[in-house]
Amino acid sequence: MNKINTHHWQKYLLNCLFITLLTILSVENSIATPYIKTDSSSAVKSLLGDAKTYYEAKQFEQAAASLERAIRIDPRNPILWHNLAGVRLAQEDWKRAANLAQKSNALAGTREKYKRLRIRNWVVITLACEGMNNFNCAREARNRAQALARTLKR
Amino acid sequence: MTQIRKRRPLHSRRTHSSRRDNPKRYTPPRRTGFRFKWRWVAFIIILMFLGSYISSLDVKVRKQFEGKRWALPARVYARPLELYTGMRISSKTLTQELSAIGYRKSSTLYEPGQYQHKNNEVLITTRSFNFWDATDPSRQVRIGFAGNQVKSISQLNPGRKLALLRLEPRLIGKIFPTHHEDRIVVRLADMPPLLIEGLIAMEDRGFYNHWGISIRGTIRAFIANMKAGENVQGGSTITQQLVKNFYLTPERTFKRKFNEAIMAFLLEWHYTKEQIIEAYLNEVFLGQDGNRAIHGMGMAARFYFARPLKELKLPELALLVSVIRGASVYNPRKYPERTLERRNLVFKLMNEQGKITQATAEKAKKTPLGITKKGSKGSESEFPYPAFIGLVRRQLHQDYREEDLRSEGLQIFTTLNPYLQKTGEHAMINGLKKLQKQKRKARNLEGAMVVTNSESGEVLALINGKKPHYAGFNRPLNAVRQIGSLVKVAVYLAALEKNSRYSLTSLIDDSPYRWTDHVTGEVWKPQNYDYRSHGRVPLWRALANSYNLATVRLGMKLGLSHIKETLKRLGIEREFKMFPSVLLGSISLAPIEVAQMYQTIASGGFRVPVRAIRAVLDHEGKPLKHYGISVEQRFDAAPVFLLNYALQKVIRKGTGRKIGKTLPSSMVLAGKTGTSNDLRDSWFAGFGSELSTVTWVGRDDNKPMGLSGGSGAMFIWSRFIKAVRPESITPMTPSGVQWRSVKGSRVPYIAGQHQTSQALAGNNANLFSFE
Repeated sequence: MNKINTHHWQKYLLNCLFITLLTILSVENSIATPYIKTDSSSAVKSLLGDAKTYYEAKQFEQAAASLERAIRIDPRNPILWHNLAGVRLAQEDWKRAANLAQKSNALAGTREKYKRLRIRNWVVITLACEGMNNFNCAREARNRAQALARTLKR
Repeated sequence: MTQIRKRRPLHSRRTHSSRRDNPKRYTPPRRTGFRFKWRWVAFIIILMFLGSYISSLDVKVRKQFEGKRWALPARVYARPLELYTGMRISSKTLTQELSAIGYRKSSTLYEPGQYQHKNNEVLITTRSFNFWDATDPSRQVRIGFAGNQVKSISQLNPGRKLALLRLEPRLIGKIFPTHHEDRIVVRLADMPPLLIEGLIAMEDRGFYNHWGISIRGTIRAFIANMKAGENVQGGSTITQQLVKNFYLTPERTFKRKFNEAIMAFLLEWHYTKEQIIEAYLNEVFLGQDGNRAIHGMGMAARFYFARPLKELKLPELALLVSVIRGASVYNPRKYPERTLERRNLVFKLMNEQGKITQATAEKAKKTPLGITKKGSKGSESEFPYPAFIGLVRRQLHQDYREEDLRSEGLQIFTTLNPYLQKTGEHAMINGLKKLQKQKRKARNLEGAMVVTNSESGEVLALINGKKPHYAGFNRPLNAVRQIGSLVKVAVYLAALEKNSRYSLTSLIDDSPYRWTDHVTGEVWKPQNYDYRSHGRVPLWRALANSYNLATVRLGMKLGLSHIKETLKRLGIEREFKMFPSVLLGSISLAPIEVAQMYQTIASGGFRVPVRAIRAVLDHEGKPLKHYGISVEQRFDAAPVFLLNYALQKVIRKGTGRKIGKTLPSSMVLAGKTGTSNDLRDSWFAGFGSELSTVTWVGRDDNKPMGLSGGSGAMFIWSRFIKAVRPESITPMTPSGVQWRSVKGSRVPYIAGQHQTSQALAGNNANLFSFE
């Protein structure tokens, strides 16, 4: 029982830490949902809007379907992959969420404009690792998020 | 009260008289009553038998009517066409897509399924369609083009801009029940009212007034048939006909006739007229197409008019009604005049019964039959993609039983892109012809091609040989052949992953090599393609020129088991034994397996399942399963990026340079040629940022045909790429990769490469591998 409780506490603390960290980080981007605005074509924008609506209504499969439609139109857009990772995270499909966040990071590369996105991806990975009770990977992912966040402040 | 008073004296008088007649032999009235009751018992027994018989019929009637009425074939759809501003598509291609889904060119746009094409504009009234994520409504839209690009999409009344427009997908195949009944179930609410009125006028005018059986109807039919001298009218009610089709065998016996009447009555007892007519309209047999039986109005509308039922007008609906009497006697394609006559009789009767006006009837009589040619687009009788359907079935079998595929009426949404499929087929058919002309030895060539999306792994096209429309040996799935040098990517990727030891410019030894099997004593002496050794060569050049000696030496240094593991990480699931010869491609794989392997490289190190299905819905449109995109990082981005660089050199400077020169220099494409021993198999795997393609050319009997990977398969691929002109942009430089100038050209290095310290890039793939 004790063990389980400490796990829970650990998780809870981590979550709190991240949410505060990210609220400080992103003043202009709301953190409540893993959605951010995109500057790509209007079709992608409209699908992102649909996905957001579905996500907020907790219709996750529909949200995923809309995002996949968008990915078919703009397959190298890291924002779309990140949001899909967010949907899978909400579904507690940890592995998928972590992998999709990795994919988003790979597509974001080193571009400056995607730095915040990369931090968010590391947060998704952290939460997914926690979901899988893999605390090594959670720690490592958290370190990466923090390291990136530090470069952002400077 | 008065009645009782009157009766009493009569009764008492009778008993009195009987007493008076036989005062001693007193027979109580009970005795006569007893005899009387025996008859009743017999009657009750008969009634009980009859009752139990009827109740058994009743169970039968209700069970089938309320349960699953029909085995419905699964319907397989291509990807829907999504139009959006900025999309590359010509107005001509769009109109081809529209006609392929049964849309008609028309001067008006009042009804769904019509379109107009004017210069740089296409106007469409779309059909509504129930997708897995949403139901798209019918809309009037205008699509503006600028050259080969969509400039604008706007909806007309109410006028507004649309961000994107999804057209309904093309039906590309069906998986039939064993009895080959084809049917689209249509609900009564979606049936045109004129169809129902025509049916009742023609088959059973008293339908709403009888209890399943109509004596009047029988007599009327008898008289009508006597008058006409032939069988023009049937005596059975619609309910009886439904019972006959639904529950009974076709023989004509008294017992069957009796059952029919009882069951018709029971059907009427339990169900409403609407339920009965709906079942009837979906059950009725309306035509034969080879071994496929056309049942129900929904399917018949497609079969005869290549359109959905709800788009049909009075003349077409009347034709469907007239076919009911006998689908072979009144086959409109075979006996147009006879059918036309009967169709016009429908108008006459409808007019007589006040369903349509005289003027409407006269006007309708003048319209031609309007039947489409057999096998025309939208008629759902011929499906030209057997190889792709084979892949769909294979993937469906992982989640569904064969009998469910055949009977549940599943709607299967796939990834097939008919445009790419067609382009690929052209490239294959004409390319093989050209190759056979060029080389005398190249006879009886066959080929296979798998086209996937580089990022999502969706199978966009699957081309099988010279006759892709014929079902037969499915080469993309089942032609398991030696892959030759295609395997080499695993060796070089394994090397580049060891970034402290190998970079693209590391020198690799290409000197002669021999290997002795310690068990059998056999000696293996591989040779280069040109029978020369090239000394010490840069790693990228060893791969670009596909040097065998360098590859074997590199692979042996890295270790056979390590290369085997790399192959598995790339996505090979088949079990295989590892020999040194595997380093040069003595492993046999089907094109689809090679596609899976190269997919991992094309997507930057992520394993993406090569898949053909997006979603499965049940026959009412309820989503059952959504096959979402899933990825899994198997390799770090950096070594894959370096490998990609070397594979670009294959096309520009290496084994593919001859054909590579014919490709536009703006396209950034990577690829690898592969040739098996004695030129039996010619392979090419090529990819850019949009498409990943694996092509195989060879003979079905596995005989040599004189073509290498660079001269056979790559030739077909280049024809395909030139026709499609996919987007192919430079892959993005991942973090941890730096460009350095080497002898005047820029070469990517992983940071810290050639240094003893651990690379800075970090090993993401190992730490965050979520399998």
